[in-house]
Amino acid sequence: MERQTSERRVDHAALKVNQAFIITLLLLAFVLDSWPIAAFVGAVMLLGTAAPALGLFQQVYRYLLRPAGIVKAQVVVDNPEPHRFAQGLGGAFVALSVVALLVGQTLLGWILAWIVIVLAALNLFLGFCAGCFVYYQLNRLGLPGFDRQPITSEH
Amino acid sequence: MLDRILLSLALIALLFVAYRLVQRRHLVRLRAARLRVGQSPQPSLLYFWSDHCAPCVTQEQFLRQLPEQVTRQIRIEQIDAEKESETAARYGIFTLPTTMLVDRQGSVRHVNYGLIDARKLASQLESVL
Repeated sequence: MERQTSERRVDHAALKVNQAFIITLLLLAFVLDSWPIAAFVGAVMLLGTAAPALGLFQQVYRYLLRPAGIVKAQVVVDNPEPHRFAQGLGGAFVALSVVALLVGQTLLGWILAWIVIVLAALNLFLGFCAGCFVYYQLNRLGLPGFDRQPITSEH
Repeated sequence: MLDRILLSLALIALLFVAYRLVQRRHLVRLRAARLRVGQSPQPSLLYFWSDHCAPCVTQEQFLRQLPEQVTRQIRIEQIDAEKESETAARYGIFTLPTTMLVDRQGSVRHVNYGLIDARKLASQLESVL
């Protein structure tokens, strides 16, 4: 089988650790009814989108979990931009969730947080990145800023 | 707090059960349909993909990481779900990538929706070899 490969690579283990932290902390926020924990998660997600090197959860992976051998790297050919977009989208949802909680719209706030939990879980356990799907649909529509097409292979 | 813990556990359980029900129903339909794979001296791995499926390239990399002692004993069939849409529809494919493991009797033993890494796939393949 011939393959057309790309040099663009993403460590999927880092993504999975990121998702695991998001799910765990948002669940904790819900159980404790704590908007500050949700706000912290949202801030980490949005900061990690703006400056990937500053993503706290990925730093925990890079400097703690991977060197300790707790999580092994899983580097695959992939575009990083859709994953970054997905994180930004998730961070925006969490930010909206926090705003809703602060203005007293508790049900709406936690529904938004649970949407992020479920979609992060879909990504973590089934490898389906909803945000990446949105990114590639916007790419197909030709929207500026969504320039990366799915990496294809030759069969 | 206890009510929130219980609600969280209930929601998680509900989602998990719903997923397993969809998966089980799919397997039952496939087994009843006895699709084109038929009987083969080797177990088969059916891999449904398309060019517009972004994670499919990653799945192909995982397939290439399967141990040789496993891949020697199976037949891997790659089905482009867009070009062979009727085949994909017969297998009830609703997301990509989807992988199915078929035993020697032609019965679908496992169906995986979305990405599955080489380690988990090898473990499933061991059960059909």
